Amino acid sequence: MWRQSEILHQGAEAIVISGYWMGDKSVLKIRNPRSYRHPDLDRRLTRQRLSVEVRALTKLHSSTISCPSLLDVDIDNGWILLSYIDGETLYESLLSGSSGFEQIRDLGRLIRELHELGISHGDLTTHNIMINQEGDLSLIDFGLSKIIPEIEQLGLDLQVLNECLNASHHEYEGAIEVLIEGYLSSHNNFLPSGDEVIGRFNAIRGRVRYHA
Amino acid sequence: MGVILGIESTAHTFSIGGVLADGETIPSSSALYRPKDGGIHPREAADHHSLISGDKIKDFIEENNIPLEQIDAIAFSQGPGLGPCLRVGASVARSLSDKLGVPLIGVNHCVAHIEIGRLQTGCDDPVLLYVSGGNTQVIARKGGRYRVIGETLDIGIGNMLDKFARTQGIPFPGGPKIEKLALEWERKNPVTSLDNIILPYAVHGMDLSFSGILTAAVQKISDGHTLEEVCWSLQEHVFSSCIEVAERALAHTGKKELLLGGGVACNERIRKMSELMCNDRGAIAYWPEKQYCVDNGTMIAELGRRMLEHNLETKLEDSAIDPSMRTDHAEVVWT
Repeated sequence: MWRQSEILHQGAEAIVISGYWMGDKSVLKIRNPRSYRHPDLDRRLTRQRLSVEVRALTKLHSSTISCPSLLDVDIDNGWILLSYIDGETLYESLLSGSSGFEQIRDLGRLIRELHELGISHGDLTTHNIMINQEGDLSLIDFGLSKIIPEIEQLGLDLQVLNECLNASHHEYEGAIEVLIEGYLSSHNNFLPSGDEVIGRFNAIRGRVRYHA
Repeated sequence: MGVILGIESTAHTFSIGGVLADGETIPSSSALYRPKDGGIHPREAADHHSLISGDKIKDFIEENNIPLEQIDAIAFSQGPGLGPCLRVGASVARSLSDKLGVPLIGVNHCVAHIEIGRLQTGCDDPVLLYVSGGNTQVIARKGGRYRVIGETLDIGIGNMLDKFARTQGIPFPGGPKIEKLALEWERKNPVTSLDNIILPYAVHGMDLSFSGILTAAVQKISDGHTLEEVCWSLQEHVFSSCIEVAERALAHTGKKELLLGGGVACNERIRKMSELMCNDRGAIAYWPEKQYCVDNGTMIAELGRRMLEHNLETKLEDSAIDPSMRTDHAEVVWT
């Protein structure tokens, strides 16, 4: 049923392998034990993160947000099989200049849509956002997400992304402000409101050590 | 050969060290302010520094037989750190520079941790896991600057360990004692489950937080767990979270070297974890000698040396301290 083709990425938590499952292009993510972590802690984190990823993807499956479909999972052995998302990471796309402020604004809007579904991502770096030829954005890697998050987690999503934009995409000066514009462009009556989340984000970024 | 002196006074430590123009280090002479009770009081620490600074400098110069005419420049920590403490080091540096008629070089304390690590270990382009009392940051060079990739969202890891230690009557600095107690627990309980003593594990993408785990650890003591066991669990949880973030940074940047720095990098357990993590992903872990992990004047001198090579002197009117100086504040022109 599964035919492996190539290792796509050795992440901090999982090895990502592309292949074919029942003939469809898909991705196998294996969370190998981290030898630096005590085995009990490692097991606990792997289970937690796989379970929450399954729950988040299940919830997102019926939404308009593009993300991988869950094909199979084995929590005891630490792997998850997902449909393949076409395109490149936003990290690469911003670096090469194929993406820019327009995509950053779209991303802000997409994050708000995610939050309005009651999910925080927890690990929003530009390596966990995919973009295809048509410029459509997808989200991947939900292992640190929270279902029904507190406002703090929503603000943190923006802070993690803010830090990533500063550290890795400093060419796009003011990117975070453009992202916020996108975030605030949704006018659904969802609580906490966009303004409240941005307020919390500003509080968080004022809390870190040496902020601008 | 010329010598560059470095003066460090960002927090508890007043230290003077040096480095020769070719990069040979002269170990620092340091004095640590230890509060009688409670945490650091910036003004009391500053008083301590100003009281001992004269003697420390005199001793350092005499013990190392440094002829005054061979001093090429005076480097000092310009930030980030505690204002009153920074001011002492800056004043001392300004007067030395003026008296000797040599350039003054204000340096970034966090960047100095990277540069002494590079000098000491020979690593070239590392991700720095900087773990100290006040700071917990993951830093890497990109686009001609050192940039913060991840950091603590509340308190520094060392600060958390010290605070926990203080609740248990262990004086500052608490980290070494916590390490010893954790080791004792492991020795007495070679097969033990971490599931018996679960603490929060707070990784948020590339960021960390430690205040929740501090509260939880104190609670575990009230629940009847022994201090040894809590110290052990505390180390396992917080160090794992730091190493995880470091690994994320390696994956994100594609770099192959991890460098430890800061006082908490003296801990053998976090060193071991770095090594295991790096081995698993084909990277290499480095750390400098303990005397260069903790705050020290030699690292300030080393960054001063690199900057002097590129004539990056600090004019007197630009030598004001900056308690919240950012890691990416200045362009990195040296290799």
